[in-house]
Amino acid sequence: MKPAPFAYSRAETVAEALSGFAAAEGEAKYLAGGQTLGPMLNLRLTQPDSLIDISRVAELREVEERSSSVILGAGIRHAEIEDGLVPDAARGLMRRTARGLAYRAVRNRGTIGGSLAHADPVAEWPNVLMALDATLLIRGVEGDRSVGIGDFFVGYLTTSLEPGEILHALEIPRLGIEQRTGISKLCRKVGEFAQSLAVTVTQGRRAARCVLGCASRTPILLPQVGEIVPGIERWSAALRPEIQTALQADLQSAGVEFDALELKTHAATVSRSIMEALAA
Amino acid sequence: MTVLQRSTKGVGAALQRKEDKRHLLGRGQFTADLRFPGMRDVAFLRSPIAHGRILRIDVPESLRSQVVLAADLKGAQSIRAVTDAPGFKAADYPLLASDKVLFVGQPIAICIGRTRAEAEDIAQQIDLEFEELPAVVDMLKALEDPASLLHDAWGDNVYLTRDYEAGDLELARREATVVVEREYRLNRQAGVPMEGRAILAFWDERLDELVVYNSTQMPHQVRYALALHLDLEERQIHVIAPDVGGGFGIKNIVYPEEIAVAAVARHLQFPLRWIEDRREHLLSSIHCRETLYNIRAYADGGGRILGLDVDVRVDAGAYATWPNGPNMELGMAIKNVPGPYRVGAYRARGWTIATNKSPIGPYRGVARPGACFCIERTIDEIARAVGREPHEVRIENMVTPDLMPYRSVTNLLYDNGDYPASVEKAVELLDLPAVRRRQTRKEPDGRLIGIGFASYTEQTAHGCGEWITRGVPIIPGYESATARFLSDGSLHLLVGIQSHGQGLETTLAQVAHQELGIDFDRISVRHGDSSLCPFGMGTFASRSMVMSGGAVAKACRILKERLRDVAAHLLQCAPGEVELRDDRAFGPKGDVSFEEIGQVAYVRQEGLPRNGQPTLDVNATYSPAIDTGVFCYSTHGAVVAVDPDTGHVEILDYAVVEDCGTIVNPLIVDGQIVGGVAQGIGNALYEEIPYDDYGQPLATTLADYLLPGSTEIPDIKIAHMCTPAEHTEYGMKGMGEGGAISPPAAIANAVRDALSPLGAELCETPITPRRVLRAIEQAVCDAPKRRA
Repeated sequence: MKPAPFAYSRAETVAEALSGFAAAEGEAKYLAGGQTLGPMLNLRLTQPDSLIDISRVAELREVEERSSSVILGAGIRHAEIEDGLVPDAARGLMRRTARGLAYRAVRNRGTIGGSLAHADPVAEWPNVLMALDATLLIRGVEGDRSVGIGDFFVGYLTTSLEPGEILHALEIPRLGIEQRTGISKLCRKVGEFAQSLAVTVTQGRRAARCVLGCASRTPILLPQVGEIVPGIERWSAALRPEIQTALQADLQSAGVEFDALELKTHAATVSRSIMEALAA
Repeated sequence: MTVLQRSTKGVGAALQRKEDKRHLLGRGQFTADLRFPGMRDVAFLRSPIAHGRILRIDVPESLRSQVVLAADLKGAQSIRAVTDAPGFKAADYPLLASDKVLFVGQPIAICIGRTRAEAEDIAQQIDLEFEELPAVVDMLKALEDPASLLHDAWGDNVYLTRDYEAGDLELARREATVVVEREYRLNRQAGVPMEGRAILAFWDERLDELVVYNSTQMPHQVRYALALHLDLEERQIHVIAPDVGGGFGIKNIVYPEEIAVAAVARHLQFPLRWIEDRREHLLSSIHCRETLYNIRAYADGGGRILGLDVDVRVDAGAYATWPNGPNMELGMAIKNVPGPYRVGAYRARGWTIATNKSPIGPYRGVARPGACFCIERTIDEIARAVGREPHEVRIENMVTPDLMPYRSVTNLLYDNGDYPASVEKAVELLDLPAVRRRQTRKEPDGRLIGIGFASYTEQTAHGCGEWITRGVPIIPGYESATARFLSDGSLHLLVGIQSHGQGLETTLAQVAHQELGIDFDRISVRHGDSSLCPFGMGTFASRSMVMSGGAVAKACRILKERLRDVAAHLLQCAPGEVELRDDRAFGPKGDVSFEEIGQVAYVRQEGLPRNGQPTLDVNATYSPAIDTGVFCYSTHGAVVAVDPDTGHVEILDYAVVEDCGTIVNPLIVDGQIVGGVAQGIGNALYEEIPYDDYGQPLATTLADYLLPGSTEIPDIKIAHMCTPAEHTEYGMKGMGEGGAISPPAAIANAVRDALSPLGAELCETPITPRRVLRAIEQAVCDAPKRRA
């Protein structure tokens, strides 16, 4: 389990990284926290010709607080979110999420942007930021652009990033004081990837944003489940069948295949995320 | 049996381990830590397919000198594990495959690089072409409807069949009011010691010998095996096991990779090493546990077992490994299903089956976790069928102290102990009435609470006669020790066993202190070196403390007489008047230090008695007084919470009550129990290597192969009972494996108890969330049938 040979260079700025990528021969990849790419290189599941290390690019670690949103550099590490070293636009959800993500050793190095760019539907950030309706800020040699998170994930481990583009930052809308959040992650042991992962962000009287991971190639928004939430006065276990029925409909309209046991498991996490949100 | 004199550093003392300092400081020395000038690394090219003929191995010409294929191995033989078990079919296990491959991960070529990465680069550039053959994946199909044969000459896919019958099963069947019939499945798993396999070998021109550093549990057997498979005499082979990071049976095998690397290194001018990585471990180290039990139990209306009828099928993988092949599993499964119980009639039939998977071998507990699962789950079902608490039915069926020694229905001789008391204590530790009360209240989070118990009795430190009945080629019926008193009064203990986490550097020193009164800190235990230490079998089968501890005690007693002879001469008294303690010899009128005795024995012989023998160097071998082993026993209990919505199981409480006779070091015994239980919890809830229909293993990294971590292991309550063995030194019994035996059964019984309101039960390990949900769904489907 040692990687195939590759050329390595470290970029100090985004511009340097972009030009380095453009100049690289063969397949190039950006290296950020390396918590996924590292093992994939070691297993030779990916064999790029060159790696451009962006882990020390200062611009990727900038944070900006705006009145209606927070902009986090893509190079912010999970542990920095967990420790409250950066502002949490989601009023605690980001910190709670980071705390349950893998192990501290992974959180010390892994970055939020790396997790998004890897686009694993069982990972926390793609699902949480989908529920928060974040916007992704992207830089490329052609210029800068932004994309809503709903258009970012296009398939399994696949995003709308063009070759060479860098996910530069993410803009997370600030939640209102009345908005509530819930996250429910099921995994077989502490620190593992989820078997099922659900996030709920209430939107006042409008339908909640409920997102389910682990069920398909990308995080899935659950509009019919979301419709149920504003009408709930108090959580009760009696809501479970109704939520499961709505979930089933959402999964079917998203074209997701599932069996009865998977549906039951996902219904549990979706319900628990709603329960947590309503209890908050 | 002698009455033990208690001492603060002798047998029974809770001393911290001599080994701890170097390991806690990260200064241990494992094979991968060793550096030799010019050393090169090996990567194995392995089969990507489960079953096929090799048509072509295409090595780029520029790399040819760095690649070793089967045909390049000079003076090296294929492995042929031949056992004396009647009807056992043997087959060569090639060091490198050249004709057929029989499992994914089987070694095909050795690639040599300046670094491991470079060696892997070479492996990646070799092209392979196969004619694929149908993979035999399911052991039942392998038996009844084989898609193909693994070993053509066999005519089927069966290594071994075995039948056993005792008592009148027909009578039991007629008299039974309750019949419980179940199928239990333990799925395939790996051993996963912290340190994987490792070998570093080079030819020493000065000594005219092959030096082999090897992460093994049995350095002397490795030397024996290398001489057997290579064109060398034993005098030319020096095997050193440096620090070894766990074994659990995985390193009780001599693997084709190891023999092949030794065979190649022998002809090279530089040291060659292979360090197994985790992926290779999961692919190609021995696997374990995969066994299917079909049991029919006959009981009376009170739950008293009248007879057991069991079929056992072991999925043994593709080859027989050296030395014992896969036949340990079946024999031990059949012997151990009746467990600590009085069973009147017993019939067992068994098959050890070849499949296109990694070979199976002995992993901590060997077959007994499965046998325990089979009988203990069944006892709980009998209890439910007769409407009683399982622990009561368990106790009533147990062998009681007044029947000891007791010959079991499978001819095991249980030496002593109070089995029912272990159940009672476990019930007390978990406060069964409190759990029953809690169950009547609903949990606020909707989870279901359950409690379960499982008992076992474990044969340990068995001698020559027992091993002969197993048909093994090497009979590990003794151990040896050299006690070498040095001129300054310090002591070397050279032993043939190997310590790889058991703390034997500490406990054997405690034994020497016990016998000689020598300062615990002035004793060095040396093990793991075939040239330095007397021949020994190694550490496995819960044998080392009894066997090697016995050998050390024996050697020290002989040494003690020699010390008293010298001291008596110096003190001008009779040897019988000399007492040894605190590094001194005391006579009626004076005393002399151990250092003075050492000086006389080695460098000032004029102080020796007339005709006295210089030096103080004693060698002894030891076998326990009986061959049939001494039986430690234990009852484990678990309290679990099962989430019926997700199928997740959490262990809320866990208790172990055990009796391993006289305890040499309570800290080490408790550590062994906790470590064993952790592995048992892995077996129960997490660890599994599934294979797909093409024979591809689906868990090849620790992302897919889940091991319990510290967060998954609860605090474990431990209570000791102590019934000293009558046939061993100090009354010791072996206990190293025991912790791993009961957890799958105890946890499955607890899950069964939790799910009883739903009518669901779990009969398979690991108990994954999906399996729990499926069991609940099945119970819901079956509910109308049950009411009908």
